[in-house]
Amino acid sequence: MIGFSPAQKAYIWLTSFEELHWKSLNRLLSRFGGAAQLVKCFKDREKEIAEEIGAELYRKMEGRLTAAYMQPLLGALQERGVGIITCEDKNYPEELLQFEDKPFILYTLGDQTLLDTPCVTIVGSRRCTRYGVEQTRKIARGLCEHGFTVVSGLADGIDTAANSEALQRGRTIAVTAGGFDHVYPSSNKELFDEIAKRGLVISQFPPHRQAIPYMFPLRNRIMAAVSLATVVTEAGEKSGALITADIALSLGKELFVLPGNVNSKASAGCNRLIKEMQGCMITGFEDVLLALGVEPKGQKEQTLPDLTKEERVIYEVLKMGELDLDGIVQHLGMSAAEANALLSLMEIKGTVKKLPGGRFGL
Amino acid sequence: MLSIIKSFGLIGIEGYPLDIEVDINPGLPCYETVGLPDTAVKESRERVRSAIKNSGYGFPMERITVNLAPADKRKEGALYDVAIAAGILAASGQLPEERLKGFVLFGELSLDGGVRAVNGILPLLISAREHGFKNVVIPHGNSTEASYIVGLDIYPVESLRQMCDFFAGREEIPALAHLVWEETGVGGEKGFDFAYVKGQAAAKRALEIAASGGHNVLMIGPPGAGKTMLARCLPGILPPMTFEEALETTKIHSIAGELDSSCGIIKSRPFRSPHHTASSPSLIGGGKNSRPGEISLAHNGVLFLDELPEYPRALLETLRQPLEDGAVTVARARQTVLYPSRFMLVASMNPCPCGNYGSAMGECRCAPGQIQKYLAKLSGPLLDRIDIHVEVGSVSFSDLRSGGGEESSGQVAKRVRAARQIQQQRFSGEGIFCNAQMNSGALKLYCRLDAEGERLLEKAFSALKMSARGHDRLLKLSRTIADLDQSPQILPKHLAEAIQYRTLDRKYGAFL
Ligand SMILES: Nc1ncnc2c1ncn2[C@@H]1O[C@H](COP(=O)(O)OP(=O)(O)OP(=O)(O)O)[C@@H](O)[C@H]1O
Ligand SMILES: [Mg+2]
Ligand SMILES: [Zn+2]
Repeated sequence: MIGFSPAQKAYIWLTSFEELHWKSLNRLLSRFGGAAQLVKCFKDREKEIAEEIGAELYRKMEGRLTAAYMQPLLGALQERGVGIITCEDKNYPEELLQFEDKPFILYTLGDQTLLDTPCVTIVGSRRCTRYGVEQTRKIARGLCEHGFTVVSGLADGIDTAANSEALQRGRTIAVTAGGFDHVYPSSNKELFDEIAKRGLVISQFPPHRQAIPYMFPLRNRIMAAVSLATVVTEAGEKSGALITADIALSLGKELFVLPGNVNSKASAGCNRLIKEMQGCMITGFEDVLLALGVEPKGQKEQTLPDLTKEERVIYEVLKMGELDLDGIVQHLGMSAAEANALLSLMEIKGTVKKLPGGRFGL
Repeated sequence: MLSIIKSFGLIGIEGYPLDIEVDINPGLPCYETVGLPDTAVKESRERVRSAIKNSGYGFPMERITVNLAPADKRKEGALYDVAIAAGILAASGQLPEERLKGFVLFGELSLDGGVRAVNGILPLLISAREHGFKNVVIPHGNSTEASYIVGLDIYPVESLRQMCDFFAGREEIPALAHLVWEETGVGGEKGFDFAYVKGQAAAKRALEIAASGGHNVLMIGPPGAGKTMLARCLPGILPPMTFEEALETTKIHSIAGELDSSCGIIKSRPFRSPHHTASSPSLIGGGKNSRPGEISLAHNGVLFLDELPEYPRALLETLRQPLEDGAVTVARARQTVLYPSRFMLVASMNPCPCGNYGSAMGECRCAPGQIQKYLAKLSGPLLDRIDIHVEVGSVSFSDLRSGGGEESSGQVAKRVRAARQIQQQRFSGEGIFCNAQMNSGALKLYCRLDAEGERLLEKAFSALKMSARGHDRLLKLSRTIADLDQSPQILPKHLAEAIQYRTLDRKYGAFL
């Protein structure tokens, strides 16, 4: 069971009062030298505190300075295995401290130590194209293979591609806008649970809070802050990913943008960014690596011990690009029946993936 | 005077014998039809009166009562005009009644005395034969259809006058020469042959398997990928119809009045594609005349539902029972009618609202949520009756232009027929005809996997996250694939291939 430090408990208690404005809390925290201190002196220094937060709120809070009030709050978190990182904790992302309205608490599910690894954020539109998904997966995979943790927002589209690819290839962090009880979109519930088990999920809001629009930019801020660089793989003109890009720049982080077809509305935002700041354009994960000072590994031949001779042939053909069954049949001169049987076996081994539209890829 | 003429009525595709009694009594001229006639039967009075006069006979100016017995069955259509006219002529002494004995009469009259073709002649003749009748008079326009019936002397007539001359011994009418049933090599429509479909190896193979095992198919692909074209080719690879099948199908079309009188009997498997705006009676059957619906017209052939999610859910739900039973019960006022409806269901749909999801060519920006909602429109229970899911991609322009090299439907049909023969032997005496119809008992018996197959099945379910709902269907498909391969045992490669046709059991639409 997760134990909480006195400071953490103090923050849980303090932030449970939604009427308490963050500005007031900030002032009190600096005056009292931390949350634990503030709670400790809460009863004794009534006048000072009531002056800051108002007498009514003070009375309400004072009345709830009890174990009976605290226990359900802590119990709810512990039951779900939710951990927290407060702004006083050592592993709190440093860049977030620059914001006055920083989150006092980050709620987490999974492995908090991922925040100590080198992270790259990949974001993009929810309404995306096949191109966007493919490129996102490639970049996520390349970064994972070079030891980076991929951060994304678990939204539909590009985020899902980034988070799910990284989960399969290495480490991933998902930053959600709302609390953990309300996975959004609900279609990502399974992915959420997997990441909570094998990666890390972060939210600025406690589990019971449902996402509402103002929370999404706050989520974007965390994504930009925890990583070394942000990559926008496909974003339309009004995509929220552009907010993340802005924040990354304002935090002095690297920003990388993947270009799209000039006719593609789905890439209009990306293409505009590139026009405005030419240095940010990338054509693959290698560019990200080089900019971050990491030498891309040579494409070393993966050893695939359990491929039969025929499977090997399919594998070699698919290495050159995705194909549908027509393509495979034409290249290999086998029947549709044989090819389908081989493809199933390879899928089960995990060497081939069936893609939407009846296509196959590695 | 009283005369009794024999005819037949229809309930569903079954006929029942009917006595047409005509009684003429002195009294004020009047004409009454009793015995549950519908309007068309009642109106026969006007046609009969004019036809008799215009054929050079006298219409009796007395009390005429026409009774259609048995009285508890509803009589429909203009089928009895000729019999009623003959009855009136006999009862009024203008036609020798003893010559009419042993004859069954069918036909609609026109005002000038001509005899018009009627619907349903095939089932009518078959029941006349079953009831031991030997001689039948039919409209000349129904000749081709009727000539496939052996065991009856059938006399086609063009007019009431000609019939009367025949019965009066003034004219000889030769009995219809019988046509011999020939199995046509390839069924299906002209112009729809696999040879003309470029590429689409996956879809063609899926249809071959479907045809072999009688499996229902769902094709998923972007607009213009050729789904409709592929579906229309399916009848051409199905085994040719047997005479019994052809008769059954023709009976239904005959009743529905959908028969082309020049071809007589339906030789190639029907392909029906009702639009998604079709009403429930037109799809399932029923309505005022309890006509057979599209699903019965597709009997022994293919029912194609293009753009499946567009069909109202309630309508799709009503397909479940016919899909299960191979027959549909159409309820009506006094009785329920059973029509056969053993068809292969072929459905098509786009993969997403815009149609381009997964396509290598078009751009799709539908959100996964939208796509899931679109797919969720499919009725689960209906989906549970579809064994094969196949994705049909668009073929590139250069492939479309490439010349030749495609296998013809005839070649595929040969393999299909061989696979069907294996199934016929396997199921002989069990009342089922193909793998798709296996119940869980038959499944246990005939779809055993070897140890390696079992291992593969287990791995497939866990590695590919397949839903358990598809388990039985996967086994049936494997059985059909093994049959196509002439293999008594289902081998792992057969199972492996089958996995490719259960796409919707996977986490479709998700990127995970
Ligand atoms: N593989 C192919 N070989 C030859 N012609 C093709 C092929 N695919 C498509 N066509 C041509 O394209 C036309 C459109 O195909 P079809 O109507 O069957 O597509 P569809 O998938 O049913 O589209 P929709 O979803 O719009 O109904 C066909 O009439 C045919 O002429
Ligand atoms: Mg179509
Ligand atoms: Zn779409």
